[in-house]
Amino acid sequence: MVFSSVNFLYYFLPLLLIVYFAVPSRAKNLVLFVFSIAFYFYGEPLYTVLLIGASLSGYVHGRLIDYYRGTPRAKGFLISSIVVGIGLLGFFKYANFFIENINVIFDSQLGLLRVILPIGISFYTFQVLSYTIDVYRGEVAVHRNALDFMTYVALFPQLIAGPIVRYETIEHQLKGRTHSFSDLYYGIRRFAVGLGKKVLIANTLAEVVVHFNHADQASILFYWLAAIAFMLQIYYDFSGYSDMAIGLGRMFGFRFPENFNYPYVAKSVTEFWRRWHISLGMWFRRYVYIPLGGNRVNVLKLLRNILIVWFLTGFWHGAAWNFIVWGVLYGVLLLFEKLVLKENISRIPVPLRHGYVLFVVLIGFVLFNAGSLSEGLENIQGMFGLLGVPLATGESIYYLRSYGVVILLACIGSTPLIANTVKGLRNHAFMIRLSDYLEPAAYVFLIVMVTANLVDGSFNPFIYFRF
Amino acid sequence: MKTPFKHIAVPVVFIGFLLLGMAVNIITPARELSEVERRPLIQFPSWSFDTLFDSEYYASLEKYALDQFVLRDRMRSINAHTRRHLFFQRDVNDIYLIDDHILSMEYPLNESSIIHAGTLIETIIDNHLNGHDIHYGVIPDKNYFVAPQNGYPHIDYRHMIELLHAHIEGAEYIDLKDTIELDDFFRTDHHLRQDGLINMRSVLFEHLGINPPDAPHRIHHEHAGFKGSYYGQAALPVNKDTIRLLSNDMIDAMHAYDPTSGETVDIYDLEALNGIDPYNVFFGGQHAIRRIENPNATNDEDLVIFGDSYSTALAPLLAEGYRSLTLIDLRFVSHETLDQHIDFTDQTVLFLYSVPILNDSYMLS
Repeated sequence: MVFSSVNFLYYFLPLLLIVYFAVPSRAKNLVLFVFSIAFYFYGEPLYTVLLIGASLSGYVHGRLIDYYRGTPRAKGFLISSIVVGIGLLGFFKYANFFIENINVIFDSQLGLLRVILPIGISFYTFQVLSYTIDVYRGEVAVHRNALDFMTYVALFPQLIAGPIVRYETIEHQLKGRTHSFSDLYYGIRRFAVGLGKKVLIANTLAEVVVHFNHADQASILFYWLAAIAFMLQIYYDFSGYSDMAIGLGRMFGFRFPENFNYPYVAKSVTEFWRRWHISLGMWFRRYVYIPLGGNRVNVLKLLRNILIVWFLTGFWHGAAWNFIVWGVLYGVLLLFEKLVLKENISRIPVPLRHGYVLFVVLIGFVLFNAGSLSEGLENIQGMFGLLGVPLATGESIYYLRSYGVVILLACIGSTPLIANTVKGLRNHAFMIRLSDYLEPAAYVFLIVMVTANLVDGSFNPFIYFRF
Repeated sequence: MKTPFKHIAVPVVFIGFLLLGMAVNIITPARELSEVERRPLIQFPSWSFDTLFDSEYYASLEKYALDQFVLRDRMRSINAHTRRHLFFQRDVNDIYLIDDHILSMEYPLNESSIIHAGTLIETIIDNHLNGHDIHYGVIPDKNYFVAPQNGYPHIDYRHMIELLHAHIEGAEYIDLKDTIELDDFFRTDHHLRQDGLINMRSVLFEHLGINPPDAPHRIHHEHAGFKGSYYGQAALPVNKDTIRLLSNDMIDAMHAYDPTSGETVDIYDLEALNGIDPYNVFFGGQHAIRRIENPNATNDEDLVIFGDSYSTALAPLLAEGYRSLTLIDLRFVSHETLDQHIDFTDQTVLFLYSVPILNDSYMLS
């Protein structure tokens, strides 16, 4: 099930809210667990077993690590939990990638596996791993209640597209949390904004990419238009999903970590990755980069550490070479900023720094969105007029005009401008009084517009589901 | 600390709205079909133990919920307004408005489809029409008249005709593009109004060597409130159309039937005007073969038209110039079986297709 669906909005969510707030506190995790499993089952009936299995594996490994703490067996069970987690991910997500590459390298004819990538496996696997590693490190106490632990792993708001919520973050909230009208208010506000970002903006921008893919004739303008539209689409899609997840979590008393912080206003690639998919960056930093030695090592090891982390970041996003190149590209850029530009980057005029970040992110997402590495490189060539296509065609001009306003709105919305304006207005007493009446109406109006959009069309895939 | 008013108001209103939506959707009975979209709506998928682990089942539940959502047409209208007036999009789902006319973008040109159509016509000529007087024409769609001037993507009409010419050798081309203009089409539908076909009829008669009878037409029937196929797709407020059916004493005396069954059919099936697609008024809808016999014909010529739904409105008007007119729709009958129903002797033959059909000609066989 996806948040931006009629069945979620008009059946699942209201039903869950009624049941959740009707039962006593001790039953709330059970309600969340049952509804979360139903949420997942609706989209992936068969793979629900995998989700439950991964949760149980995390729980059992955590208990075993704790039981054998201080003995070599604890390390053995940690390794076992990693092997199970990475093994599941490897089998379902990466097996066919390796088979394909073996076939190319050795000219063999190994058959591909008939497996479909289970929704959200990359997210819940990383959550389970974070738990067992933290238990082994002694950074979190082992969780003895299996149901509560499985509720953490399967918790529907962040189950399928993050943010990656480390166990430590919500450990205490799992055991006991408070609920209030204010939490509901902030949760609904965040959820509604995320829903609007996803359905009204991201889905509309996605149409530009579809038109580009079906274009009668390519043009330089169309290559750029599609690249910009996708860059905005993926931000609104993913950050909108994160907003919805954070908002839903808040409604049920959880405080999930932020996942985005206006990444497109970054002035360096380093800053960009502090603002984009923050929970993933933190995960790799905590569980890969720092264990490798972090940046307190010599230059060669720093090179190794950063390239490993960014190779893995790319590979996490998809089992294809374009994702790997995309990740490594960022590794190289981060190294460039860290080792070559250093503090000198602050001397470069701010507009140039913004331009540099936006340009490399744009090019990166062209690779990211391509069906293959060669397609990505071809699209980049097309953007720079290396494919002999015309500068513009009537078709590309038409779509620029047709989607220009949405793109402009999306550009403005990707900066803190609107949020700051709203924040400023909230400081006026009159606006505070007015917002008492405007806000409830605004969120209903927003959900009506979203529903209208959903009813009108069936195009509604979340980009990050494929990870 | 006191909870601010809106911290209570927002959850109450928002959750209340969702609950209301759930209740109304559950209570409201499922509709069988959407009249404005002219299609059956998805019904609740039947459940069995086998479907429990079938993700397709849950996907169909989602489709059901979307199809049966309360105020569905109003919702679609809200979306169309949002796209058009908030995002200033020039089309919504490829549908756009020019001067109160609703149009659907016909783009891009599907060259292989045009070649398929040309090759099929040539095959039919070779297999069935040796020695016949054969012509072909193309009926431009609405886009031809407005898309280029208004910056909408459009197919290269000249290139399309050249492609056809390159694949049809055994027939003479009749240029029809100047015989009609935008206002000859229904505003809410892709078809031409019958009273907008008079010029085309004259040009066709001229090329086919027929002296049209001197019998002016009168309005046989007028049906106001016609919502064409684009009306529902656009989901925007547009004036409805009026279907005007033309007749005269000669058309009144014509007899139409289905040669495959021998059944008599009405040239104007007035009951169809109250059906889901009032355009089915012509011969009661689209069928494989229809034949009109004109007892008051002033010659003994026969015409065979290979055409589509556009030809059904034109057929009674063209039948005035012939002893008989046979209308063949290759979407519903294969040319390979035509000899079972039609004796091709020395009829005049006209291949008359609209641009949308030519651009998607794999439905012709």
